[in-house]
Amino acid sequence: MTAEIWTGALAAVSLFLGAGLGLTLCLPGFAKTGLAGRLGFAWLLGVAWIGLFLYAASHFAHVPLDGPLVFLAAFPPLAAGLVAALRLLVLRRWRAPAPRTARPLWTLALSLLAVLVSAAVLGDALTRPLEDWDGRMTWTAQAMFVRDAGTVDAGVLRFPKSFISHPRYPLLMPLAQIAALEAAGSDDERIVRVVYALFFPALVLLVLEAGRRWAGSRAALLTALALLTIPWIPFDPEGGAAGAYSDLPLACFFGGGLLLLLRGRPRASDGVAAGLLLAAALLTKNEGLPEVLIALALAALSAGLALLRRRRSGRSRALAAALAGLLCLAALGLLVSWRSAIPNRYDESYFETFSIASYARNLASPRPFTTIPVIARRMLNPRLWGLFWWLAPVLFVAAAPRFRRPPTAYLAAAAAVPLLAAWSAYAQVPSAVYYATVTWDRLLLQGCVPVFGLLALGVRRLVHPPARNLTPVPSPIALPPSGRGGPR
Amino acid sequence: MIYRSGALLSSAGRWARLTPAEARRRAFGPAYVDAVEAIRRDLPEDAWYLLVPPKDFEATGWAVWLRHDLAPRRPILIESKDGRGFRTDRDAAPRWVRWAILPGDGGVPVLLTRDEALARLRASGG
Repeated sequence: MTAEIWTGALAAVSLFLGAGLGLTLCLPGFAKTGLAGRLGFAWLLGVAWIGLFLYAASHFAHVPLDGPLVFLAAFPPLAAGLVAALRLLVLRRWRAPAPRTARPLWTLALSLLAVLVSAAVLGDALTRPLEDWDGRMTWTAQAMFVRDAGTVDAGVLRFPKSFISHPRYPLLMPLAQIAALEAAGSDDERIVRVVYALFFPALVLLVLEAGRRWAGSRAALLTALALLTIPWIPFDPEGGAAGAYSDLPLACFFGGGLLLLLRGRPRASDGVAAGLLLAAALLTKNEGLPEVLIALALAALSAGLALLRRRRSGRSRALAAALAGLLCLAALGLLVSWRSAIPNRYDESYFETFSIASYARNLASPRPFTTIPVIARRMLNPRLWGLFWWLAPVLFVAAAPRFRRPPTAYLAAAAAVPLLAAWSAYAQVPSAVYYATVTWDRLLLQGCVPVFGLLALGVRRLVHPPARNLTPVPSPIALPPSGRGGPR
Repeated sequence: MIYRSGALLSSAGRWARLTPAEARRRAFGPAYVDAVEAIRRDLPEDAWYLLVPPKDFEATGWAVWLRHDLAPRRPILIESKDGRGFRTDRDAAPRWVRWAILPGDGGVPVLLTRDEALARLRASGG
């Protein structure tokens, strides 16, 4: 391994992380987010921002996709973040460090485990060529064609005879690949692999942040530990962080957007950040659209209920949901406009064969039940999911989070979206068992942030039994202002 | 997880000693990688080519892998007529495409001119 790959990977990571950190410094909603949560959101926001910027600039303004455009995308958040950081330094408004309490030794062990697993995935990405199926078939191939053409409206995508798999799949992650390679000044696909690998630590930090907000520090750490015991997510090349599939980025964008919208009293800037993440989800995979719609519907429902109950948080929730919805609407407009000139081919053609009548008729089909053996076999296989699906149901029985206590119901609804997507898909296709074999784990992954949020709420009940759990619940969505499990 | 992470790091250490070219040869096989490198030298980056896959290409990913490794060169897939040979008419194989890639011995890709490739396909019943 040469210095070139190290410097290239560092440049690519700095591009996204720098832009994302700039955004988290500018958006006041992140002012009380701890360093871990901020780093997780920074990675996601950086990829989302740069991907969205390149997509829109290339399609609407016909600006060539090259190094200068990548720099132009990164410059505003970097500069604004720098100004915000300097302003905070000058005004000495850096948050005072929390009083240090002695942390149990196991929390240190947890951090070491997180670092070890992430380093392993990163080490693999830095040294081996890309070998997974969808990464080579779709996402990386599209990135190379689009980069060569210098536009997302590449002729090769639009020419009906060209052999392009899934030419109408959204291009946000291929654009992130292009940005990484332009920043690195390289064609080395190992740099692309690093971008995907870093979504794993981002997911861990996101789960940690979600757990802290909803269930307190200790429950959050235990939930993150549960995530770190699942081998499939970091190590699997066909959907996990070791490949170039888009499912892990989608899980992070969807989960991150949901987390921001379900804050107790979100600020307008939370709505903007959630909108960026959900817009990125929409432009990452086709499944992003139903997931984004559900996230927005849940945010609107929570705002509507709060307004009905005349809670003070009602207006801020409605504003955040509206801002996020506007950004998602713009992203949908971009997707529809971009797709309209691309003839579909070498694709399952779900949309072409779709009709409400046949869809509704097939939903009642018993076909999805035939997938249960393969689904159960995969979920209970320790080499794939560790002991997670053996233990999680036991935990939910022993310490089920109270359904009426928010955000439990919202998280349960969001966690069910990929399952509903699976049911819908498996009911429509003749070879449901094959589809379940190749898609089930990835669908589970897409809904993992709300699942881990629910797990954190269950763990909280174990760690703090209800009789002693006196934390007040001031709003329908119980959120400690500091994100540390209790009000300050 | 500790064991698997350690094993992956140890494997990464071994891969790190290889150059990118050596790593690709180890991952995909030397014959395939050498053939792809030769085609990349001969076929200009902005070229179109006809891609004639073996019969089981969907299972093996032959065409998909090759398309990735030759990108941004642009492929037009010549598909089999339900296992009864390939469509080689003007509509399926546009005249302005000068190059074609076929599977050679052991699935190793071979670059031919369009006319050579079509003649070979017709001779084999395509």
